[in-house]
Order: sequence, then structure tokens, then C-alpha cells
Amino acid sequence: MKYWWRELSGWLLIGLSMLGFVTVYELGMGHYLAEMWVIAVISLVVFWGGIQLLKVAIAARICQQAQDGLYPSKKIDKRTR
Amino acid sequence: MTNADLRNPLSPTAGDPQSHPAIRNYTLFCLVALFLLVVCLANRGFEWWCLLPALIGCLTLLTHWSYGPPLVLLSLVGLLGMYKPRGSYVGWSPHLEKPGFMDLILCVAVLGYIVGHYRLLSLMRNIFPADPRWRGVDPSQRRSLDLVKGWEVVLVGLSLPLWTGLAWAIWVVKMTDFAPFQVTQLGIVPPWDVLPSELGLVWAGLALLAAAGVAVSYMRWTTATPEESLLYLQDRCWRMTRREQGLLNRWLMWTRLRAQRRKVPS
Repeated sequence: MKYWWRELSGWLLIGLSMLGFVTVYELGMGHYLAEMWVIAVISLVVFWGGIQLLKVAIAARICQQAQDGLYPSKKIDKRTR
Repeated sequence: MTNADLRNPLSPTAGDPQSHPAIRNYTLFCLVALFLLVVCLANRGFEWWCLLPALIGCLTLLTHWSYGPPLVLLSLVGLLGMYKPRGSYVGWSPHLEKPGFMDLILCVAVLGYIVGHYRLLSLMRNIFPADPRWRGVDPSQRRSLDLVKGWEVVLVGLSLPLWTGLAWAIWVVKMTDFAPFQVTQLGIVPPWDVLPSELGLVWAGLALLAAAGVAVSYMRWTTATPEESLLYLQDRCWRMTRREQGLLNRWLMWTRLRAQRRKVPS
């Protein structure tokens, strides 16, 4: 479950960066050229961070699922104890 | 070149691929496009300079250099940037000019050269960008010469006016309504007035591409095998702790060498 939260955080960051991209577009159309670059750089950094978080969370979740598939008895033992 | 060709030395495509009709057709196609390019540039009033993009194109065509199309485009942009029509007013900008017939021919020529050059590269070198770790040309990465039919070049040639026409239609709808309005209402069109709308479009396109890239990548990541995912995590771990691991290993080596020196009697 902990990996799902990380994945969700990654999507949240990507969504935030997309909002930033829309803001940059609106600033650009409104001729706010100096302001748009600042938001653009911030959005790009957030977008990159979101992508990295998402990649790591998905990879970790797949590994965890594979491990759970290989050793299911440990989980059962823990639950039955 | 197919596997059958590699096995059979008597196959027509097993020898020199330069002599294959597909290669000849595409080379000829590119040369015709470059000739058209020279004609269009000469018509615009460039003198000997009109030969520059075509010379670059011919050179990269002969050497099968993948940087050919960008170099031709750059030289063309440079030449067109120097150009200004006679009697143009102070606020003249290329944005405001309605594309004429020779402009369309120029677009067809450039597009034809780029398409032809990349198709030629796919037959001579590799379809997809080569792996930088792999030096040299891998014949298995080429497109098979036997797959190229005679009508393919004709089809490419016929499709060029279609794409150029589409681009022309977008240009006319976007710019010709906008530019005269500004010229008549405001007189001179400052570049910072035209720039934001174009910049906004480019930005919106990039943002859409990024969103599509995330969606496609997500599909790829979720369908990865556990081994691939583990490899990725290990790679991330190594990258994130590169300095710490370097430091630890330096200390370990130092202690090991020190122990060895102590064992050896001086």
C-alpha cells in the first residue's frame, strides 16, 4: 500500500506541473514574458520530480508484488500468528 | 537486407547495396528535391549563395550523414534570414507575407529532401537511432531493400504537396487574418506582439507531448518485468549513492593495501 501512496504523490506532482504549464500558456498569451519563464522552470522541475517518483514507485511495487508471489507463506504465517 | 540475403551471396541485395534500384531511386529523389531548392532560392534573388544548402545536402547525401537534413535546414534559415524583399516597409516581417507559389515549391523541395534522406539512411544504415555503445553499422538494423516497391517513391512524391498544402492552409488561416489587422491598426508590428501567440502554441504543443509521453511511459513501466524493475531500482540506488560508495570503497581499498603491506616483510 505504501507504494500506492508514492505513486499517487507522483501523479499529484505531475498534475501540479500540468497546472503550471497551463499557467505558463496563459501568461504567454497575456504577454507576461518575464513572468512565464519563472513558472515554466518551476513546472519543469516539478514535472521531472513527479516522473522520477512515479517510476521508482511503480518499479518498487512490481518488485514487491513479485516477492510476495515468490514467498507467500511468510505473509500467511504473519497473519495467522 | 534480410537474413536470406545474408545466407545467399547470389541474392541481388547481398552485394553492394548502392546498386540496388531502391537506393538509386531515393538518391535521385533527393537530388531532384535539392535541384528544386536551388531553383527556388535562385528565384528569390540569391546569387551563388543559392547553391549552399544544395551543396551541403549533396555532400551529406553522398556520405550518408544523418546530420544532413538539420544542416540543410539551418543553412536555409540562415539564407532566408538575410533576405528582405526590395521596397519592403520598415515593419516588414516574414510573418506578414502570404506564401506564394515558389514558397510552396520551396517547402515541397525541403520536405522531399528530408523525407528522402531519412528513408535512404534507413536503407543504408539503420531505421532507428543507433545504439551509441555499438560502433559501426549493424546490417540487421537496416530496412530490407526488397521491401521497397517501385511505387513507394511515387507515393512519397505525391504526398508532399498534400502536407505542404495543409501547412499552407494553417498558415493562411492563422497569419493572414492576424497580420494585416495589426498592420492596418497599429502600423508597425513589433516582434514581441507576434511572439507570444506563437510561443504559446509551441508551449501548448510541448505540454501535450509531455502529457502523452507520461501516459505512454506509464504503460511501459507498469508492464515491465520484475527483473527490469529491480534493475532500474538498483541503478537508481547506485546513482543516488555514487559518492558515498566511492568514499567507502576508497577506504576499503586503503585498509586492504595497508594490510598487504604489513604482511609483506620489509
